[in-house]
Amino acid sequence: MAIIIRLDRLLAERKMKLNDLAEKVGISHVNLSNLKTGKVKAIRFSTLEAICKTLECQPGDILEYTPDD
Amino acid sequence: MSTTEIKRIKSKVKTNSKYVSLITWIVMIYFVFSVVMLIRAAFLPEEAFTATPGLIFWQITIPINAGFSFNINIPMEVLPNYEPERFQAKAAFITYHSIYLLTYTSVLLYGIRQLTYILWSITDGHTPFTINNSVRLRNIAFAAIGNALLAGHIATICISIFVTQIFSMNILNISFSGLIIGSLLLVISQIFRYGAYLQEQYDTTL
Repeated sequence: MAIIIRLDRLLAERKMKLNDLAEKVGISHVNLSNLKTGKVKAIRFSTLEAICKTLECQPGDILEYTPDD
Repeated sequence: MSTTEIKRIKSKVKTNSKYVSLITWIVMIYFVFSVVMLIRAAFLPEEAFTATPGLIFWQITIPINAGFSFNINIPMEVLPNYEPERFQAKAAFITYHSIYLLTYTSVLLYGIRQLTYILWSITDGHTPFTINNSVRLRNIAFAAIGNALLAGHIATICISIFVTQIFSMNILNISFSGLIIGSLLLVISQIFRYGAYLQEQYDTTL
């Protein structure tokens, strides 16, 4: 897919575990793991907002566009 | 929609599921009883059968016990209004009742079974909008349409071959109500397919 989720990179930079993020954002660990591995097709603005608020980042830091070849 | 409302709907579906199970049992008991009657009829002499012509049906009666009898109605489109001497009531009973059990009752049982599966999919906590439920509805629709188009003709052909030996067939001997019900179910199955697509979109959105 052309949109890549950079959640693992952000978590490493913030030295935060996926479980902690899941707890703070209020999303189940399984769903967040699916997001990290690119298994979800869409993300709500409210979810994106909660992640950005917790990780103190911009949506662009989480989502990255790479053209398909 | 609130969680309370969803719980209320699920509880209603559970109740409906129990009613459908009850209907299934009633139809199955009728099916078994009819098969028993069919076997009993095979061993009865020709004189035990009574064929009475009505306005739109032939009523064929067999005795069960003292004071009790079992009868079936054969539409005049299937068995025309001949003199009762021109056909054997026993052959008519066995032929039409076998066809009736194979076409109408089997399709009814199949439809009820599929409906039970759909209701179970809701009570089990899953959504009803799945590809499986869409296929189930489509199968019920095809069964209803097939039954509406063919059951009457199959009965007529079998009666012609095994009972009257006179071939007469009305091309319009189809069930229009069955066709309408089948077509409506086909439309609903398409709606369910679209619902399944929307459900998948919802489930994969975080």
